[in-house]
Amino acid sequence: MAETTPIPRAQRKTISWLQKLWMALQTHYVYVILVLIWIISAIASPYFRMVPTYSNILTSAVPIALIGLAQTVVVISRGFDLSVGAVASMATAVASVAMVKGIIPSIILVLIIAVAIGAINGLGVTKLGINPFIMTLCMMFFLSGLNLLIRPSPGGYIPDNYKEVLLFQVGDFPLTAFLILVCTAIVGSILLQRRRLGREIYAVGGAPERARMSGINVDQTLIKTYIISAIASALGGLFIAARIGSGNAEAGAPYLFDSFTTVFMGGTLVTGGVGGYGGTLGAALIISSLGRILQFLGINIWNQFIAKGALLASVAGLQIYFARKGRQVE
Amino acid sequence: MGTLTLDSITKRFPGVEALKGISFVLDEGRIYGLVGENGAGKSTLVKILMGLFPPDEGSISMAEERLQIRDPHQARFLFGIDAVFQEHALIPQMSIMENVFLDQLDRFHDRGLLNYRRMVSEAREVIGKVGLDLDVNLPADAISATEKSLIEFSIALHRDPKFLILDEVTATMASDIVQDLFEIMKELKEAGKTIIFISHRLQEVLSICDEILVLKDGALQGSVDNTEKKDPVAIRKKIVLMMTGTEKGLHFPTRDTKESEAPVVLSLRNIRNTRLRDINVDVREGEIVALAGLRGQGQSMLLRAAAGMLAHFEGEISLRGELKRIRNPFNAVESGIFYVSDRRDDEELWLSHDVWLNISLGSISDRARLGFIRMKEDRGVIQEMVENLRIETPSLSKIVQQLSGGNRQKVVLGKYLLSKPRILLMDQPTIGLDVGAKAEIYALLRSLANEGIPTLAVLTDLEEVVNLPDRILVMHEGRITREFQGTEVDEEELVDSYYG
Repeated sequence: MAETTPIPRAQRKTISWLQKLWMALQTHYVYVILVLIWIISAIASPYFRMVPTYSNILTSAVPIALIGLAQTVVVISRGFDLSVGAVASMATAVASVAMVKGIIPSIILVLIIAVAIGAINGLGVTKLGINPFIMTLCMMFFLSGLNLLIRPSPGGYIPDNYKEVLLFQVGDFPLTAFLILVCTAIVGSILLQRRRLGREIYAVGGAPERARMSGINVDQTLIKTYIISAIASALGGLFIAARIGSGNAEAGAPYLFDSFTTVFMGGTLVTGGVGGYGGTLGAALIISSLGRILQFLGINIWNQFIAKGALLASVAGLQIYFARKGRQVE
Repeated sequence: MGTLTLDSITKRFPGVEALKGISFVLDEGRIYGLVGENGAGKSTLVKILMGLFPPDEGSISMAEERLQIRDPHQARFLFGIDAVFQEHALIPQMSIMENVFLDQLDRFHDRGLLNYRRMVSEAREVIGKVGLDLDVNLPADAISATEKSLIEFSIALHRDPKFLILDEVTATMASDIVQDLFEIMKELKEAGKTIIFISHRLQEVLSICDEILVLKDGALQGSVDNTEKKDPVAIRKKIVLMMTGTEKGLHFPTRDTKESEAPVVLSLRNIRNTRLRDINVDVREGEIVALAGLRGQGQSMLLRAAAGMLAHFEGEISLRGELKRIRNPFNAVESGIFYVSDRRDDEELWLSHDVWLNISLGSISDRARLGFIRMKEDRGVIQEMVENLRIETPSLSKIVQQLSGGNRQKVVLGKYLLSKPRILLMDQPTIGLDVGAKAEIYALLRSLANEGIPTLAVLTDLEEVVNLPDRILVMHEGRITREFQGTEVDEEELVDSYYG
């Protein structure tokens, strides 16, 4: 093809480094909030100047971060996954029954079940056209029942060496938990930013019809999204099992709400196609720190909910502010 | 080899037959023009060829072999059919380079990770083919409509299709860019490719296409040979006639000569914003006034301004001599100014609800006492409206989606008539309607005008512009440039005036 005459540009659009910094700050403001929370707490209380507090925060952030990843991918695809908590519970229940036979086979079993759950969610959403909210709500109920069938009351057997590996500490530092967080961050970011599948999830969530016009297999992408979600939730559940040292059919339930809180606090938009895992991870650390702070201050559980609600509302307000600001820049 | 044959392609959507047995053959090394008014079925045809939905009847075959086109990916990579869609297909939140390679991202996996550096250089190369020089890291919604069209064109070029469909790619382009585009199209033609060029700009179609297919109301009216590119005036006339055509059975209500001294109902004074330039319009009692001209000269924007749907504009709007402050649609409705959108199904109707609710909801509080709707009274009122407008529906509880286009438009009018409008602002009132329904809507608008509800309407169909209104205001680049009296308009003079 011969060269054509270059088209005169009215205005070349480029991004200055200042705008880049501003954008980086916008996408990572959760970390600014996190550090601020830590500094304020450290000034307010000696308890927040001690290492064990932070190791505790890291450890309890692991399931929030994993289940947050599960929710992030689905929300980016313009969906919801209400079954994340139930899948995590399933993992604890199945582990507490199966680990007598062996740790690795049990983990594999849990993951196989998770893949099946994710596939069913994905098929329901795509092939049957059921709204993701309804489809995963059904899955949540279905699994809740199944979990109680497997593990009617909390208990069962989680091997000590399994717990020791996952909760391994060097001094006061929870090495395994830290490594899991780092791995989750790397895997989550690579999946969403540096792999074809991740980019297709953004495309499908950003504009489903256009993604179809562009030749993306939308159904297949969504099915994979729900499978990834279920796997991440199940991994979260496997960590919860080590922490509580038993199986519990309801252990994962509270994480459903935390997953939405972390996703939205982390800047992933409910409208799909915008966001990422970095924000979710920061928000998971905030949620985990908040739990510790409020617990230390002796604040009741209901006030913890109020605090979470208030924090999410203010972050949401901040996002709208940034978005308006962004439009003004244009 | 290399020919694409369409055989009696038919496509129905609820309440409308979008394509009625379309058949034609596309030879290689030719540029085909596909023209027709809005709603003639052009975009539906494109989507069928790209496998976005299957035809209800008919077949597509390439070199004697019947094709089952299941999705765009298959159309592109198996059959070599590619399209630049009228509605942009770029994902707005994603970068230009990712959009360029959206369906082949795995090509950029280096050791398991997307290699963005390689993607940048390859994407720059792809868009460079159409003369674009952009930061490919920018999100697709940060660039102009022309740039988007060019990028989509370059993506299609990059895939090297045998058949390329260009649906309104030039709509937003300046003429020098269009010329560049045509140069590329000519090269493709010489390389034996087939191009279907869809455009509302007839001069463009005439200057580039070898053969022009004319669609009207979902049917192929015929084709005009233009291989020689000679005598554009005559060919143009022929095409315009086929596009608008004197339809059998299309009847326009008679126009009485109006007293020019009839009282003014709606008066717009010095309406202006970034695109509208000091517009003055008076609509008098008993009148239907048309806003005509080429597409996108500010006609719809003017209507939206008068209906309070435009955030920023200056000027005065008065109704029967009384100055109104109209800053939002609620103000307009309160003053009795009712706007009817050309996007009937999206902006006027609750498609999945029944006739009753659709007509009733706008004025429902008039038939309520202490916050409770008096159902019996409501039902009676709606029933009466349905009968007056002769809406063909078996019952009030029929879902509007199952009605034909003409009946849908009557439902819309019924909804507003219950609110006692003083003037109607209608954007393409008969868009997508068949002949019979058009005639009914014309008659309805005429009788409303006679009963004291005049209409200011954006009209695009030439036949409509010539035969329906009492006065025609031609707009060009945000100004009213000509005015014609409806009964004494010369068709050729009118079309000439469109070009400023």
